[in-house]
Amino acid sequence: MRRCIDRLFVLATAACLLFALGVISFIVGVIVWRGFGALSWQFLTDQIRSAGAAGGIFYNIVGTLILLATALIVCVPLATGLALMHGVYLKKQRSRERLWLFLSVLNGVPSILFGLFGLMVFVKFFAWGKSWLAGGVLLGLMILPTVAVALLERIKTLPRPYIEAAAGLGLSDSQRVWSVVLPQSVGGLVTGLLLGLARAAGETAPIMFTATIFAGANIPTGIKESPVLSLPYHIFVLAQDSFDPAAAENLWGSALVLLGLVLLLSLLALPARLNFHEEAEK
Amino acid sequence: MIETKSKGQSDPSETRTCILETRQLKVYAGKQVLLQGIDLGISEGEVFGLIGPSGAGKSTLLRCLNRLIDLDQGLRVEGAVLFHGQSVRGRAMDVDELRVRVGMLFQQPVVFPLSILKNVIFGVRHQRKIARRDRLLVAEKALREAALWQEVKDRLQTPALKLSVGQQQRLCLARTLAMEPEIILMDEPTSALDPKSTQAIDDLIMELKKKRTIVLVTHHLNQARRLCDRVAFISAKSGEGGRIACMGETETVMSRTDLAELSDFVGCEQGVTCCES
Ligand SMILES: Nc1ncnc2c1ncn2[C@@H]1O[C@H](COP(=O)(O)OP(=O)(O)OP(=O)(O)O)[C@@H](O)[C@H]1O
Ligand SMILES: [Mg+2]
Repeated sequence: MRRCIDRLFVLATAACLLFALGVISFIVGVIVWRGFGALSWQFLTDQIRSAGAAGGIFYNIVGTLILLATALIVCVPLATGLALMHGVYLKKQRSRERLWLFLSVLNGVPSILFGLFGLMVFVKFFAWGKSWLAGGVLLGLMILPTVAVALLERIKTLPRPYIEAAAGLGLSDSQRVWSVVLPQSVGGLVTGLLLGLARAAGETAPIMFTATIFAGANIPTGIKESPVLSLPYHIFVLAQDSFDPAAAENLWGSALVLLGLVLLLSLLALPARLNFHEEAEK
Repeated sequence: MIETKSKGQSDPSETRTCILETRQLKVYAGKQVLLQGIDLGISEGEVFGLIGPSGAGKSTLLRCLNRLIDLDQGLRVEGAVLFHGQSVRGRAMDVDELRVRVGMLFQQPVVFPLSILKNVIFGVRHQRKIARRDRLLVAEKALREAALWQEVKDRLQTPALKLSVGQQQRLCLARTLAMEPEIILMDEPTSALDPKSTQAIDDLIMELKKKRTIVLVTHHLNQARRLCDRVAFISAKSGEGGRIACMGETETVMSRTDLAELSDFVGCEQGVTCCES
């Protein structure tokens, strides 16, 4: 009887795994199959032409990279600060719990609300109009919980003797942070960042009102009224409005590029996760 | 607390100045008492031993002396610790400065995942600016003092984690010595080591006591006999917290038979009787 239940359980788990794998390979398969035809050197290096039916997605890739880079720059100091607050500076359990709660709430905010917030604050109140900076800041805030939590989990598992030894050598709080805590937990920061950026790369809602347009932008030169093109918004618009088969092919091509970008970021996170300890010992 | 006075010779603590002192030091964890009213004075240039059964609070006492206990949230400290007559918990005391002057060596060596050289100067480079070319000199001096120089001089850039545990412990000692501390607190520094490495550390302590004051927690009574000028025996009845049951010159303390706990402890080590604590 017990054997039977065991078997059933294994079967059920295997079925779940197969189902998940099936769904993922189906999605990836469709995107690769439909998108592969569109891929060409010209597609990657040419700008958008005739409303997406011709030309390429060069400035969409650039725009997405600009947004991601901005998000990274915004997120790193904020996440590091919050994680250090949690792991080092906040001495009371209560305040740490509050910070944790704040991060959980922030993590739960739907991305469309980030978009609306950005529209109100950056676009309207600061009167930036649509701007890459607004989008980058929003994406940075959106992935803040992911990154901060990844880092603070790593800080939590820091061997306590390290901290005590450093304190015993007369290192102050901040000296301990710079020479022990951060070097030992930077792997957590990198992992969190890459996972967060992988998510941010595909987000449409936070940037569609605030940072990105469909056509007619290239490299921004200022902040005000300087939108960028982006991959997810490109896909969004093409999928919604276009009945032109040439545009459909470009749509799948863009999807494939975006998928590649996200996959690349996630894969980069893998060695950062696994190799961290060996690296530290070099 | 019973102070044992040696009969013939004069007590060294009377002739030398008291450098570190505790007065009615108490430590609580919530309602639980970990230490109850510790009074002791450590004189300059001596090796002061702390012995006692496991869980008596020896480490806790040691950590009070350089305020490392501050890192433990939830422990409450009462009473005074005086370093050169100045309260270590007073406003005027810079805790980081205190920990520079009162160094610490732990039971397990704690080396950072860095090169040997970087480990040695890990603390001292925060304390004062050291020019890049002086680093080697500083490291060499400390490593020589810790009797490790001959073994590592050709591989200062290799990871310190590659060293044996005994070497790591001497590396930790070198790291502490580089700070030029006045007092070194050692919490069972040899309990993780093999006899040969233990011997090396023992010899070092004999050498170091010429210049520095050492507080040594140890489980090995032979080690205490060999190294310590004076010892304090800390005992804790269950649920009461540690107190100094007996303190004085090493031989005098060790030969006391009127204290049941102490003779249990001493007898246990020599394999005569076995204590239950
Ligand atoms: N942070 C803490 N919170 C609560 N209790 C503690 C804390 N730190 C230590 N204790 C308790 O204090 C007592 C003394 O511990 P301590 O480590 O000082 O003993 P010790 O004499 O050094 O023992 P050993 O010889 O095994 O190292 C123990 O009963 C321990 O459980
Ligand atoms: Mg101990």
